[in-house]
Amino acid sequence: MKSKDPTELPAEVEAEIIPARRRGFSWAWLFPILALIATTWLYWDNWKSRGPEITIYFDTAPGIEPSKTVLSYLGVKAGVVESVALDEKLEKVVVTVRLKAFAANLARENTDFWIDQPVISLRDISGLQSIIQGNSIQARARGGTNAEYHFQGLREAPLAPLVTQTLLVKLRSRAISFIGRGTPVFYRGIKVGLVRAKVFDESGQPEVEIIVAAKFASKVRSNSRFWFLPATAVSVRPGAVSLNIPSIEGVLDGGIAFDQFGPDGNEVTSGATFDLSPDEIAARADGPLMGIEFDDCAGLRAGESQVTYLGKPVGLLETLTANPQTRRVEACVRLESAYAPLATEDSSFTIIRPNFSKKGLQGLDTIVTGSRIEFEPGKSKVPATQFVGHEVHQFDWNPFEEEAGSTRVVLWAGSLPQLTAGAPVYYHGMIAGRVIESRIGQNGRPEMVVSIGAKFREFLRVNSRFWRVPAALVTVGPGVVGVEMQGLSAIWQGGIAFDAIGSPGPVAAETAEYEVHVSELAASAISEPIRIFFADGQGLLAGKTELKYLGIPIGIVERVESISGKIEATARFQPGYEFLTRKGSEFAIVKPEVDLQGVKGIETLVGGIYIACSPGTGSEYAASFDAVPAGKFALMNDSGIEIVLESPSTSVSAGAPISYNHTDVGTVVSKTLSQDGKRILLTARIREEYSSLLRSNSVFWADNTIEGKVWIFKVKFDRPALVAPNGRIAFYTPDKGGGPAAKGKVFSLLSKQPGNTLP
Amino acid sequence: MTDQTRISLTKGLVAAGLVLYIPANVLPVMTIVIAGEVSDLTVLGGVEEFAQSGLMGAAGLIFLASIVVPFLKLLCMCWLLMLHGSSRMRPQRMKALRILHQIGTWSMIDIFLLSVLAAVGQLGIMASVVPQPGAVFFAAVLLCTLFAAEIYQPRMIWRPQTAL
Repeated sequence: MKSKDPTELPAEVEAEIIPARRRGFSWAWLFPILALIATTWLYWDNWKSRGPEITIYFDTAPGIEPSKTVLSYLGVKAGVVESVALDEKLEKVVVTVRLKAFAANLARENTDFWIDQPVISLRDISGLQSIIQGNSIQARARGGTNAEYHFQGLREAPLAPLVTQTLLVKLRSRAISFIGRGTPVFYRGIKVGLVRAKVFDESGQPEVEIIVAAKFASKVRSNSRFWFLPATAVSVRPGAVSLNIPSIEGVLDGGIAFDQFGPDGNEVTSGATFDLSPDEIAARADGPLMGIEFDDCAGLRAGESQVTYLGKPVGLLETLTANPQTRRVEACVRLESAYAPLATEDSSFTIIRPNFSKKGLQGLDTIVTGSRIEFEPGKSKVPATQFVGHEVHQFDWNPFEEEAGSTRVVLWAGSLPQLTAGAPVYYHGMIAGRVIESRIGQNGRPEMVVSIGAKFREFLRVNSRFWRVPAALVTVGPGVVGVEMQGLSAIWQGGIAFDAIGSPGPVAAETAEYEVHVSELAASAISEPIRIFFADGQGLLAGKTELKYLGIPIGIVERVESISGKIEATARFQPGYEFLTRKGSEFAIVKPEVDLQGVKGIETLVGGIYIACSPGTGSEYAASFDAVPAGKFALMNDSGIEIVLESPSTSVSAGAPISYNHTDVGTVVSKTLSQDGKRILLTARIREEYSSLLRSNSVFWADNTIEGKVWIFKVKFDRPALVAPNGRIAFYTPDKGGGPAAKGKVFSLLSKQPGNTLP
Repeated sequence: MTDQTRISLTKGLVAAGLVLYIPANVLPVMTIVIAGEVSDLTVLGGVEEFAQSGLMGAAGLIFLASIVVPFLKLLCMCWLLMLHGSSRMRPQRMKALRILHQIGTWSMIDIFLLSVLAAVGQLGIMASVVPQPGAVFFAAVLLCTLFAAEIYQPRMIWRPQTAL
């Protein structure tokens, strides 16, 4: 209050305060001014980015919420829904959208709006984004020029939303089954468009509207033919069945393909209409309609059966009409335009059906593909449209023509193979001739007449042997199972082969007669027969059971007879294996043996049992042998030291392994009782390379425990019957003392491991 | 800083606070996206959300701390400034200023919470929290009140006004 006293205060002080107050005033008030500027700028910016308000009418508007749902255009947020309401009749949803300023041009006529919601169908998953971000309204501008603020929303997302330049083509068909919205359209395997809609045209015929992308629009020509592409096509050719899947996309509901056959037609404009054919053959068959009369149309199907020319599909059977007056069937076919001119007045049409006859199988492909009509162009030049059809029995379409200069040979056998006329006769894999016929010869035996081509005449020798070639040959070797196919033609029926076994003899006479052997092995086994006696001949088959030496088939059992309680097998060898008939040779039947220690003779499971041979050392040859037991035979070739282990009682039996320091070094060969019946004698064989481990002071024991390691713990199992059903024997030889063990030395078998042998 | 400067600075800050108070409450403070559901939240909207989900206590607390308190601070500062220089109700003014100082310590808690939420609440497509411009204005309001209360010192209540 004192300072207001004018008398005491000098004037300068007053003058000093005023500018100070002014300075303070202007500086401090910057804050509210800045705040105002910031606020107004924000509001102004917000207001400036507001575009026009548009109204969209939707049938349904799921998930649309005011001030939350965005209008998205090209993935950019172009506006926000301001309000959602219903119209007065409660029929439509009125959605008001405030566009952003930059998207103002969306408010033009023709712009499409639709609600993007997740669609998960077999064909596609769309609108995945909307699962996460909620439904949105999508827009597609279509280049309208006039402003428009009220729109009718689309019911569902348009196909190819952003492609504006497309060609729309209508396809007409009698029935449109599996085609649906979005089904792909292919042109020579390339996806060029989509099915837009399935509609009915004015006359009520079903129609498919397809759109073709602009860059492929020129592929649609006025003469294009459209056809259904089935989801999967199975194509059957002789010798192969293939599954044809046009595309992964098309797997689910197939597709539509188009192409033009012949020269390019004119380009078409949108809205052009084409026919949709049920398949490619039908699409290709666009020649004039031709009528054919048949006696019987069994097996033919209108719209499906093909017309073939030399086996190639060239047309389609369109309709079949039975005419009661003429008692005949009228078939209407269409050929591809390229083949249509070939149909002249003397052309023939023949129904091909599967035909099983004495001559073999004909038209086998038609079993799968259905009957077809084979078209044979005539020589005449006069075109015709009416024909009289034939059927296959009037038309021998694969006759076997006997070559001039060929030789006829008579073959005989106890039982002739089931071969039909025309079956091939092979010489070293080449077809040398054909079977002419089978008959009963003069003396009542079955005979077969074959014709051998002139070129092969010189290979037919006096000592030639004929044998049956099976359709498919299963080769079984030691551990090998193979299947051989003797060429496609032989698959149906097999054939006959011949060759001279051993040194070729002189060329055979014209009227030569030969026996047909059941197999090549039987034919080539020409040695002197030997007789082998078996105590048990189970499984031996005459003409089937083979003799093998080191696993190689070298002979065959010809005859199996039982003589005085024994089985006598008569066998022959192939040339070159006579050494197996030396005295002392051993023969044993090999059968499959499956036990826990392994599988032996596995090949016999498939090939049947066989006789294993082992040559003797005698200088003389013998003609009859006694077979040895299989178990003994297996060891015949094993060299090693045989010893005897003696024990009052043991569970170890033949086959048990003998180990030294956990390594298998031998096997127990047999288990017998001593003569007084009080002790068990095990004959064991230690392999040659380990024989040095065996000394006269070796200690043997029955090893009934098995050791394993589980992590850091040692685990011992007693009596591991599962692992070693025959038991196990182990032995240990002290470092010092003891001389080499002689063959046949007797050791005693301890029942458990002695303590002094522990490592 | 002279008292005169302090006074004008306080006035400026209070005025700025009042201006900013409007957008701070009108504009959304944050956007919360939970499982595709996008929601823009204003401060009042957040209170409403809490109230609707039955958490009346939390709603009340936020309403008090975020809307009532800043507004009362601004009003209180206005009152102090209006009575500046007069000798009326000096003890009450003193008490009010002291309370303002004490509350000021806690006033940024909302912004702090929001920044923590925005940093932590980034669970990819499942949930996310994004701060919006409103938060900046809100923070600005709080800063204005804070500095205004700080700059206006208690002694100025007791000193006679030199000139205005």
